[in-house]
Amino acid sequence: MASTISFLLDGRTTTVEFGHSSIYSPTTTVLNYLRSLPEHKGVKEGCGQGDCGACTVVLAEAGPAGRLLYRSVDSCLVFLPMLHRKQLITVENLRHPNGDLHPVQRALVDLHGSQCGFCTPGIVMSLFALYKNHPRPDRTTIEDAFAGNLCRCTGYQPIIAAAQRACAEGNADQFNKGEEATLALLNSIPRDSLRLESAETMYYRPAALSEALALKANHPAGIVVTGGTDIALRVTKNHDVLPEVIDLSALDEMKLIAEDAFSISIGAGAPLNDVMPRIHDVFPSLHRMLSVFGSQQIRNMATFGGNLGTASPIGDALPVLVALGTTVELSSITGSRRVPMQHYFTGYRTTVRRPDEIVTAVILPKPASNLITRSYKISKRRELDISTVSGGFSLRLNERREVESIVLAFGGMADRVKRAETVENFLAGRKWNRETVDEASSLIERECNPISDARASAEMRRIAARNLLLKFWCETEGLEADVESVVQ
Amino acid sequence: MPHPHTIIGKPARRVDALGKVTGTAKFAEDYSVAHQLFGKVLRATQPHARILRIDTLKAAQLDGVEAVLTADDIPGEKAFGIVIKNQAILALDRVRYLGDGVALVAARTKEIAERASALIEVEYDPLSVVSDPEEALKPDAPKIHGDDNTFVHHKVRKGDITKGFAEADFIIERRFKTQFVEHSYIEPEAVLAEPLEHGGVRITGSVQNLFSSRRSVAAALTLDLNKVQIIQSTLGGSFGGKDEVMTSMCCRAALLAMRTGKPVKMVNTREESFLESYKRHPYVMEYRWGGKNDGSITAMEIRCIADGGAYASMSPFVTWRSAVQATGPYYCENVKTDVYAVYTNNNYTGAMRGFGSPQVNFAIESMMDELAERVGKDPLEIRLQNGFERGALTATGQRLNHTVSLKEVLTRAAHEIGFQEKWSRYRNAPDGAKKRGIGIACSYRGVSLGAEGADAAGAIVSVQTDGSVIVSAGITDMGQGAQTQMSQIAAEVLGISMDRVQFLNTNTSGVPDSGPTVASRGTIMGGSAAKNAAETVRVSLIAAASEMTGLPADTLDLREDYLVDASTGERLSTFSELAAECFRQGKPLYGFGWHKSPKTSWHDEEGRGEAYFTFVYGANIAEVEVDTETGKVDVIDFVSAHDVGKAINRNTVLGQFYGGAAMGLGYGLLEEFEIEDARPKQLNFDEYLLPTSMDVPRIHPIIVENEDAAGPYGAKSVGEPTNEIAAPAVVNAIFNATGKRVFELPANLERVLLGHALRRTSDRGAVLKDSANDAESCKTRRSRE
Repeated sequence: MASTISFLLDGRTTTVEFGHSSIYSPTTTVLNYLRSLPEHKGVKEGCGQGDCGACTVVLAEAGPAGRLLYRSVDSCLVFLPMLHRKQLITVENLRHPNGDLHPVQRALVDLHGSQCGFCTPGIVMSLFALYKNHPRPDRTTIEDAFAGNLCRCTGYQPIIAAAQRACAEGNADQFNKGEEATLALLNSIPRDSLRLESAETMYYRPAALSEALALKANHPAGIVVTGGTDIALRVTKNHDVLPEVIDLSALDEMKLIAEDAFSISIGAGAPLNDVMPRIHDVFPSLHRMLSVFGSQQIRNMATFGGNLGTASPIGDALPVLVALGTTVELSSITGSRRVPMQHYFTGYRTTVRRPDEIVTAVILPKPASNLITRSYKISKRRELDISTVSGGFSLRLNERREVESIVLAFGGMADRVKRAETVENFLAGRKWNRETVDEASSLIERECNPISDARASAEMRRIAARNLLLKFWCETEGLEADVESVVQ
Repeated sequence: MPHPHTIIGKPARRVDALGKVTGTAKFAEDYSVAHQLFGKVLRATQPHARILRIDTLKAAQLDGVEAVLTADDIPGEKAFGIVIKNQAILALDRVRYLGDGVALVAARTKEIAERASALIEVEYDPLSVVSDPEEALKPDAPKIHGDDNTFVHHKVRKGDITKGFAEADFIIERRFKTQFVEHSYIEPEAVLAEPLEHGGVRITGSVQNLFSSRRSVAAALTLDLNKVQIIQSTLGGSFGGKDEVMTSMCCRAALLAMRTGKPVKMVNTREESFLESYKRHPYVMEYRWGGKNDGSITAMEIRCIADGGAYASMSPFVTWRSAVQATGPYYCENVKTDVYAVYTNNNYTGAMRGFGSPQVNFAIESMMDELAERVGKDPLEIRLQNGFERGALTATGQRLNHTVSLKEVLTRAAHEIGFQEKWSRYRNAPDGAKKRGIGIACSYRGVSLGAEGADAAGAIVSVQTDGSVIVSAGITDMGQGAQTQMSQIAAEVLGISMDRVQFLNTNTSGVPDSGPTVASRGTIMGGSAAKNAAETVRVSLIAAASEMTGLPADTLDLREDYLVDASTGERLSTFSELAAECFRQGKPLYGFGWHKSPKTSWHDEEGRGEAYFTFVYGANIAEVEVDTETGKVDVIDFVSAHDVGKAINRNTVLGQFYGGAAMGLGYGLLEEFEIEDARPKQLNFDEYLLPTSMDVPRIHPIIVENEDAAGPYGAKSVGEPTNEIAAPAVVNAIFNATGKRVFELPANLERVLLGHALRRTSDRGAVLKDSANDAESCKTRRSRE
C-alpha cells in the first residue's frame, strides 16, 4: 500500500503526498492542483462541472501495443489520485523544446482560432488529443472533438479550420520521439494499491478486484468511483466531504471488454470511448446513443458502472441498454450475481445493489438477426446536453408482421428508467401498423408521469415520448429513410 | 498615403495570440501576490425584503478572518449607476433581487471566507415580489424604487398614425416576447485590489469599462480619481457584460483592501456569476402596422416594455437604441413608438452585444415576413420594396447621407444561397417528419454611442529609440481584437511591420478617459484616435528625416520599416536609425491622438433627432431543418452579409461574423435564463445551453465595404450588427418550413412543437388579433399548416 501518488508532469516524475500537513486532499481535483502551481496557470476554470471544457488537459497512459494512449479530460472532474501512473499534459507542455509552437497552436494563431483566449487552453488540448488520435479527421470528427469546449467568441469556425490544417500534416510532433522514454518512466512507477489519508477523507485505490471487493465489504458506506464525472461534482459543487472513497479506476479487470458467440461483456470501469468501437457493429443503436453522450472529455472518463451507480432517471445510455436485454453483474466477496437491468432500478436513484456489492460488468446478449433496435435522445442541444426524453426500443415481428416481442424503455419519463409495460402488452400479438401504434402511443400518457423541470415540461415530455414511438414505427416501415435513428 | 496599404485590410495575426495559445496570457484570476486575502460576498436569500438586522460578530471572530463589512463601512457614496445612481454596492436597508450583496468577508483563505460568510446572520422582513414587467406596471404592484416602477419612457414620433392607419388596406397586429440572456463570457468575474503607497488603490481585473468603474470606486472610497488605478487584465470575454457587475466587485475588493491594508482577491464562481450578473433585457413588444395591398407600409405603432430588473443600469440607453431602431430600415411616413423600462425583482438588465436591437429586430423582421405573407410577396421582395436607400428619412427624422447599402447586403446574401428559389420550393414541399425552411432578416444600426452622450476617445503611440513602438488606448480589448486593429493602424501610418508594435493593456492612470468600449465603437473611435496619434509621431519623424537627409519633408515616406524617397522608393535609412536620429534631434517620439465623433442630437419631447452620425447595414439568411415530431430545429446553412465600411483586418472581421452569428443563433434557439417568482432557474452551463461546435453551421461570410468618411480608412462597425439578426432569420425559416410562426424566443423544442411554452402561466407571445380586413391572410396561412 502506497500513501503517495506519482505521475509525470513537465517530463519528470512528480510525487504528491497527502496527509495532515499536505495542502492537497485525495479529492482535490487536477484543476485545483494545477492552478496551485505557478507554472500551470494556463488551465482555466469556467464552470467547475465539466460543461465548458476550459480546464481540458490530456492524460497519456500506457496503452495497447506499447503505445501511449492520449485522452482529453475535464480536469475539474478528475481526482488527483487518478493521475497515478499517467502523464499529465497541459497547454504549457505543447511547445517544442526549441520554442516552436505545436502544430495545433500554430494553426490556431494563423487562423484566428482564439479571440478572448479564455477557452483557448482547453481548445488547444482538445485539438492536441484529436491530433494524436485522428490523422486527417473529417469535419464531424473535428466538431465532436471539441463539442465539450464552449467558446463564446469565435463561432467555432476558425477553430475547425485550424484543426483541419493542423491534423492534415499527420501526427508528427515531439511527443512521438519521447514516447519510449515516457513509457519507461510510467512503467517505473509501481502498480501499487493506494491508501491515501487526509484530515477528512480516506481514499482507497485498489490495484486488484479482489481487494476492491474486500474494501467494499469492510466499508459498505464507501463511495465507489469509477470515472468520477458525477461524484466529483459532490466535492466541487456541493462541497461535500467524502469520508471514504473506493476508486476503481486502476482495476484493469473492470475495463475488460469480452465477446463470445452469444454476448458482449463490458467491464463497468471501461471508459465509454473505449466501449464505442467494440460495440459499433453489433449494437449500432447503443453506439449512436453513446456518440451523443456528454462530450469527448466526459466519455474518456465516464463508465457504465458510473451510470448504473448513479442510476439517474435521465441517464442517456440506460433505456437502450434495457431495450437490448442487458444484465448487470453485481459482485461481492461472497460471489457474483446477474440482474436483468430492467429490474435493477427500484426508484429514484435507488437500485437492488447491496451495500457490499460493486457493479462489475454489463452483459449484452447478441441480438437475433430479426431484432430491430433503436435509440433516441431528445435534447435541446446536440451534445453535452442531458436528455429531455430518451428512448430505447427493441422489436421482433413474425412473418405476419405481428408483434412477437417489444421493449419500450424511456428515460426522463418517470423516477427511474422505465419500461412502458402497458403499451408493450397492448402491442404484443397485434399487427404492427399505424393504427395500432397510434392507439398504443396514446397509452403512454397513462403509464408515465414525468415531471416538469428546466429541461422540459411534463406535457412536452409526453408528446415527445408518443412521437418517438411513432418515429420508431416509421423507421421500421422504411418511411423517412433519411431520418437518423438518434433524434438530436 | 500615396501607395497602397501594406497592413490595413490584410489578415494580420492577432497581437495577443501567442500568449493565448501557450497559456501564458494572464487573466484576472491568474494574478496573485504574497499575503493576499480572499474576499467573499454574502448575497441575499430573499428577492425583495427589508433588512432588519445584520450580525457579523461570529464571522468576525473566526480565525483567519480579517474583515467583515456591511454598507455602513462604505465611507463615500454607497450606490452607483451610469444614469440613475441606485445600485447599492452592499444593500443598505433593503434587498431587491437575489444577486444583491449584503456583507463582505476578507479572510486568509477562500475556505475560511466561505465559512465566515455562512456565519453572518441576516434577518429579513420579506416584501411582496414582482417578477413580471407587465405586472410591475400595475398601480398596486410592489414598488422597487420610489413610487413608480416605470423609470424610462422613450418615444419616437413621425407623421400621424391615425391618418396612416386610415389609409391602410389592412392592419397587422402582433405581440412578441424575448427572454433574459446571460452573456456567458467563459471567464468568470475576478479582481485583485492592492492598497498603494500613496493612499490609493490599484485594481487589476476583468473589467470592460475601466473609467466608469474607476469613478464609482473613487466615489465609494472618497478618493480622487488619480488615486484609483484600474488595469485591465487580459479579458476573457465580456460582450457588454463586465460593466456594472465589475464595478460592484471593484468597489467591494477595494473596500476590503483599504480596510485591511492588504491585497484582496475576489473571484466569482459560475453560479455566483449567473446569480449576480446582469442580463440582456427581456422585451414585450406590441407591433401594429398598417399596410397597403401593394406591400407598402402606411403606419407603425410600436409599444415595448423592457424588464429592467432591480436597478437602472444601462436601461435608459439600451431602450433608447430600441426606440430609434424600432421601425427597422423601412420607409414609413407615420410612426409612433413608445419604449418603457420598468423595475422588477429580477436580475437587473443592461448592456449586451446588440444593446436593445436584437429584441426589436426579432419583432420587425417577423412583421416584415407577416406583411409579405399578407400581400403575397416573398420576403426578399418585400424588403427590397420597403428598404431604405441613400437620402431616406428615418423614423426619427434623420436624413441618411452616407452609402446606404441595405439592398446590396440583401441581394448579395440572397444570391449566395439561392434564397428565392429555396424559399418557394420549401414553402410548397409536401408534409413530412423533417421539413426544411429558409429565412432572411436585415437591419440598420447606428454606429457608436450616438446621442447617448459624449463620444470621444484617445490613444498614445510612443516610438522608442530603437524603433520599437508602444501603443496604448482608452478603448479596451475584450477578445474582439481592438489591440490588433489599433496596432495595425499605427503600423500602417508609421510604415513599419506589426512585429515592432507592443500594445499595453489599458491602465486608467496611463491613458485618458475614452468612454466605454461599447456600441461597436472600438475601431471607429479607438482606431481613429490611434491613427491621429501615429500621424503626430509620423510628422515628427519625417521632420527629423528631412533635417537628416536635407530633403524636403514631402518627398519622404515611411515604408516597410524604412525611410524612403517617396518617388523612387529608395531606402534612405532604417526606421530604427530614424527613431534614434529623431531622439538625438530632440524631437518628440510620442504622439497623442484624440478623436471626437461628429455631432448628433436628440429631442426627448418631440421624439426625434439626428440619432447617430452614421449607420451600418446587414443581412442574414438561415436555412433550417425542423423535426416536426420533436420540435428540434437544426440550422444547416447560414449567410452573414455586413457592410463594415472597411475591414482593417479581414480575419478579425470574420471572427466577429462567425461569433456574432453563433451568439445570435443561441438567442434564437437555445438560450434562456429563466426567472420564476424572481428566482433564477439556471446557474451554470448544464442547464443554460450555449451553442457548441455541433450546433453552429458553416457560416458563409460576405464582407461588404463601402468606406465611410467617419471612420479610420473608411472602417465602421462590426461587433454588434453580426449578432442582431440571426434569431429572426431562423424564426422566419421555421415559418417557411412549417407555416407556424414563433412569437417568443427562444424557438426551443416546446415552442416549435407546441407553439407555446408550457411552464408559464401567463400567455407569453401570441397573435394578438388580426383586424377584420386581415382575415384572408390568416386563412391562406392556416391552409398551409
